[in-house]
Amino acid sequence: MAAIKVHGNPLSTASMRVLATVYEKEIDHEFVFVDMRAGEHKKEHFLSFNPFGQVPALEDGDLKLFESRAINKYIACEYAVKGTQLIYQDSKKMAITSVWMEVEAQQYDPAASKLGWELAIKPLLGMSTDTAVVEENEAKLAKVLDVYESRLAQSKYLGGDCFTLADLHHLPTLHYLFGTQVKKHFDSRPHVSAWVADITARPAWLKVLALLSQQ
Amino acid sequence: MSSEGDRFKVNMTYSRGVHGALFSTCTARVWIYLCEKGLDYELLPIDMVAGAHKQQPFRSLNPFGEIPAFEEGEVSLFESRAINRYLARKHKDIGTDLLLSNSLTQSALVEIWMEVEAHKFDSPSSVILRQIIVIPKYGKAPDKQVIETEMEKLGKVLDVYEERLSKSKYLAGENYSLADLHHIPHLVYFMKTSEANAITSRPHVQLRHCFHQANRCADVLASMSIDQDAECISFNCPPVDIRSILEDAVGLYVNRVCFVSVVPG
Repeated sequence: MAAIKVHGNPLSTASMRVLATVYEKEIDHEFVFVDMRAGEHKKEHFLSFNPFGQVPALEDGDLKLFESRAINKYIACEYAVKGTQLIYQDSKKMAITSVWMEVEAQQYDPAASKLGWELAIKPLLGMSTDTAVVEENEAKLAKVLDVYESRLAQSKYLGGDCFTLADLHHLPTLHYLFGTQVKKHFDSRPHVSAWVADITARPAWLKVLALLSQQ
Repeated sequence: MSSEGDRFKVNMTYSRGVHGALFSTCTARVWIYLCEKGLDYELLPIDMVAGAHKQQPFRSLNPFGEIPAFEEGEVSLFESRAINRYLARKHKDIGTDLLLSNSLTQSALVEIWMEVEAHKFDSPSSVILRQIIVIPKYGKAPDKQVIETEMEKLGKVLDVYEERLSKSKYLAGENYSLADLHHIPHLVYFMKTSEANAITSRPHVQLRHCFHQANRCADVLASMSIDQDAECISFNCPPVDIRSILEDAVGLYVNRVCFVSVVPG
């Protein structure tokens, strides 16, 4: 019987965020597919996992969790001894990692998500891209990446010397953005570009992409 | 004549401090945590009107040029929620443990509802407060369509909160945590707007979130800040308006040294 169950959909960036962590930690798990086209995530059974009706959700015994970043923090703590260390035990190092986890969530993700939606997802759904939204958010993302470039010139990874959740949390949106015109903003910044090449080559992330390619 | 850099160096000799301004909800988020714990930290004002937050030396504390930033010894942090997480972990044995760190299950629930606040509550409430409170200060009229759209989003989020709080005393469970505290800055301003009935019409949300001690102090401070022209006011001791809230069993509102008798045997 698998230790944990991840309820989600490989196409969802938030689901991919949790799957990346599960693979990094090498945890025995069951992936329970949530059929979003059939509206399964808005029905009562799934709402008992996440009252906001969004994937992913996690079951670990009796514990039910949602919000991908909260799930990942739980996994990183509960399974600290397994697989890759994704958080620091030292409180001061963890404080810095925590800062950059907030940066991903508050500064990077809003612009990156909007761009992914407009440039990668909408075309797949036959919807037209809002060029004004794209222009506004490309400018915002460029400013964020300027800060990343300075940070990564001093530090191999965002949180410090080691790969942590602060880096991992970027992977799903990076995947979608790299198939669009936004890629140039990453390529033109050498430290950012090297960091992206490093984190997207990780075996655990390649397993997530393999799962995605089966859909 | 000392330069801006020298002034900042002098400030850095303070052992611990929050750089920011209390009218800012993000600075308030950290300050309310410190009030909750009864801890003595300096508030180091940032001259937002002069754009100090966008320049050095502040930018060396937060490369995004936003308040607050936090310093304590060699630790230098930004992002209010990260600052609070660090402090709550550090101070878990002082007063209430706001991360519920004795149980991984409970602390996971705190993390969930902190994420909910950050990703679902913060955005619509920020937009609404900006329209109703900030934009009129620049002589412009609020955009009613924007307010209506964001209120609809916020309403759906608050419906989930109402359901949650009908089963659970606080968001993460039976104990007050950072997940609840992080909502206070926006809630305090929100309750002063014409949209406050979104809270008052939901009995469990109103009961749990609007009648906690720190809310009362934050409420008074927010009221004072709305009526001020100055960007930042720093108090050396609690202003008259909140002393009665802070008074303890012997009628004092300031910290003092108490001698604890040791019973032999």
